[in-house]
Amino acid sequence: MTNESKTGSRIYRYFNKRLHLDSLREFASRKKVPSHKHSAVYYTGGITLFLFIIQVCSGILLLMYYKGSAETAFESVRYIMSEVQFGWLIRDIHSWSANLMILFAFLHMFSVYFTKAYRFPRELTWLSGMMLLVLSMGFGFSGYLLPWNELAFFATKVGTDMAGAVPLIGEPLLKLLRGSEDVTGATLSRFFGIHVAILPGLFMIFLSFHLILIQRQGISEPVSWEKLPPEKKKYTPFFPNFIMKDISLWLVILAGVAALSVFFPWELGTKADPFAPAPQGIKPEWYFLFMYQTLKFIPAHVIGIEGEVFGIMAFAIGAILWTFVPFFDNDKRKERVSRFFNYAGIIIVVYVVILTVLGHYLE
Amino acid sequence: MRLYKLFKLFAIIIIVMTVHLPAQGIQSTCIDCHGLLEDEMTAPVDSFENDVHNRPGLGCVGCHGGDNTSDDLVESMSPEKGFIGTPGPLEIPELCSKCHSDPDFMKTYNPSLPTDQYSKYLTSIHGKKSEEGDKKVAHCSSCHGAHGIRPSKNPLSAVYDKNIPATCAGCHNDSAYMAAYSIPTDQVRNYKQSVHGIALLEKGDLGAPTCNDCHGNHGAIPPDAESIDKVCGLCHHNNMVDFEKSSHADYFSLMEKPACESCHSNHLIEPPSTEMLSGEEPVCAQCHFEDDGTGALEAANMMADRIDSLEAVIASTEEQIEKADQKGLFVTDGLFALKDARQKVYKSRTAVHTFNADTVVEITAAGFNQAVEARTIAEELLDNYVFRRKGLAVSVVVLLILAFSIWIKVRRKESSQ
Amino acid sequence: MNNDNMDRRSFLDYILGGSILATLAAVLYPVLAYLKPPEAAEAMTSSIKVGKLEEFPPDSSKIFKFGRKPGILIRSPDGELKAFNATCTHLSCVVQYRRDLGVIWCACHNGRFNLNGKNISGPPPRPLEEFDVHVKDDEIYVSRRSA
Repeated sequence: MTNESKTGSRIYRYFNKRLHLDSLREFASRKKVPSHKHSAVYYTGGITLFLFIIQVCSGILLLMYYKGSAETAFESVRYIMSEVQFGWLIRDIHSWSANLMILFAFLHMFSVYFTKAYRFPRELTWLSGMMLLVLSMGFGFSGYLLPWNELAFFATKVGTDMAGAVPLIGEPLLKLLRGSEDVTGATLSRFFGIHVAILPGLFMIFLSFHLILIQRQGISEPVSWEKLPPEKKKYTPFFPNFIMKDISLWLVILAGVAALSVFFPWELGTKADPFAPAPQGIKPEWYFLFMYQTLKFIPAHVIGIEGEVFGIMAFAIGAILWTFVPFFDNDKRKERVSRFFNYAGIIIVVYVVILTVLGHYLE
Repeated sequence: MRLYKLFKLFAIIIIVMTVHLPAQGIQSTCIDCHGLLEDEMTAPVDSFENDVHNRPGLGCVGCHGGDNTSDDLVESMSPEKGFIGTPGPLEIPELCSKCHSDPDFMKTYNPSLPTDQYSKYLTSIHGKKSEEGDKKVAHCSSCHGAHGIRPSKNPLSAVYDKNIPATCAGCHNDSAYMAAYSIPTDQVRNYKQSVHGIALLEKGDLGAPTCNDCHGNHGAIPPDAESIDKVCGLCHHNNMVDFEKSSHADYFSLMEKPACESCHSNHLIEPPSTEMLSGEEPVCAQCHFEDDGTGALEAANMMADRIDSLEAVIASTEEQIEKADQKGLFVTDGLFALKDARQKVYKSRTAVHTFNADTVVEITAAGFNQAVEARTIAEELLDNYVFRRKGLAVSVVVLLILAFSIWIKVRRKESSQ
Repeated sequence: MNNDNMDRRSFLDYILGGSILATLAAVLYPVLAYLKPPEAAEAMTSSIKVGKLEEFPPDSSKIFKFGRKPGILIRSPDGELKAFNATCTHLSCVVQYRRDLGVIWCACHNGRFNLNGKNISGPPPRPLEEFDVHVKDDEIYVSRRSA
């Protein structure tokens, strides 16, 4: 063997003595991914993770120049976009990758849902995943305001207004979010802090938990494999085969994000003016659209309560039921229950897609 | 009936003596009694509360005379105590001037206020007619009011900049009232549609001229042909300088044509445009005609053409810069060059008043260069935008090659296993 | 056959290695360029260098770029340095220093400001916004006043 690999093995030995790498290697070599015609869904989680890594890196870069206050936020983003070399690229990548991350998180969630991978023993993985989704949407909502442009300003106004409609805790919640009666510079400071400190901290906790669970429990096998004889079950080694395929896919995603950034840059718009009248057609980000559009369709009063309050409560109950689905559909022998959740899932997907499209095109 | 009135007065006196009424600014028996009366007898009390003259030492007796310390009806308003009743329109200017033309007196109240209003008034058309005994012409209280006089900087004052057109229109817009004077009554209507009227009344630009800025206030006279360019030149300084130096200055004065007004009109001054030079009815054609040997109409067309095309270049460059700005490109330098070019438009429009096409051509040429500079900056930025795509293309190829070769590697591995 | 396979493999390894390097370059180049501080001053320019003190004899002035707006630096006849936002408060024309009048003058409507930026005649409704001037090592710095 060459000198190089001798040194390589010496380094390996050095660390192995201290970190017990052998057991890790042992563990990695035994890890495998089921191989079947729906194997593609196993990549959705990895892509979401990769997009999150892009978010962390580009976010840190943006922090170098961004200044989070009502007087400077807009100007500093303009500065990043126009005067800092490749600043436009970093900002566009951050925006595009944020949207794609949420998209892939949704895909990941639905693929887990329909393959029923949330069943025993993976209930906690599902719960932590739901938490990560909520945090991601929080990232999106808080990050949207940071350029302090007109659209973001009014979208935040409308968004926080909805939080204010929550029964009982609405009023204090609204003030807690906004940091004042209205959306002001105080809101911006607050959202900035939430976006770069609170959410990343929480996200890392849940992400670690989520990933550790996956390593401990292995990757879920499809329901149809239950009856399959062991010799018909095919697997791909996780390391290095699957991980390398993962990486090659990530590279394609990175190229895609870069292409989107160049061809469809995010415009900066005009600086937010709290005293200007709201412009026409203020809409939240696309992943809130189905809720936003539903609230618009709900009549002013439903069974004696205000339509908006009713809608928000309905969504809250729906989200709770969805989150706890592993506890309702946990027995593979109860076929009818299982099928019910399949149909419910399909209806929800169709509903979300239709309402999102309507929300996008109406008005 | 008379007995009743006497009784009423008596009752008032008793009340005044027994009940101590709260003082309004100054202790005054005038206010005590008139406040209890009705309609026109009490009106002065109400409006005087906000009057600038509602100060110790002035008050009612300052103008009307009499004794405001006496409770006695007859004594307080006796001519012996200087009571003059309601002064008539012909007496008012002199009455006000008793204090307002006295610098020694005025400095004890408001040293910054001029004291030449009365002498100026006497030179004005209003003042002269008043001297002749015309009771219809404006005197002090026609504009300032009688008992609710506020300083002219107070937005509620009838002589506040924005309120002056309406105040003057009170008489000058009333054709029946003005019938005897054979002057037009459409000034304020015209003014309201003019560039100045819109700036002041609609856009709230208090720097825009109102009636008195051109006509004077106390010395109100229409500017004549000789002085009009000085009046307009107060703000349009360079236009005045250019005009006075131009060949036109002498001819206009020879022909007794007013300078600015001949082309821009007076009350209905519209925002100037190159239409005035080269449109259907150019203002130059009032005197000049084609082939009159001066080359005037040709020069006018030339000036209009250059200014128009400079403006067109600026407008299209602005679009380019806007486009680049929206894409987040660095447009500050372009904006500055464009701003310079736009200054040249203003300058060239002013230079029209030299009536020398060469001057205008020179200025617009400089403006063209600046606009072209701005455009080059914008185009370079947009080209840079294309460079982004090339860079992207290279990076994407690199990423895809890497992705592809990893994939092949895995495939190989799988097939060999 | 085996040899051929080896060749193919090492060829693939070359491509792999090369493209890893190229990818690193494609990612690191923009990042490093991004981290290099740009020439232009910070966002929301709060302070800029206008020039050297010797370039400004008493009774002289200069229009300079301050962020996206023009500024004017004036050295008064008695040597005092003053800087203002050069945008006239009337209709946003750029003002200039008139040595003959000793005032800041706007050509558009004959608006005048004294050397403290106060509007003294003509249409301007407000004084010019004043900037702070500092001289350090013979360099003149102008900075925005904090509110």
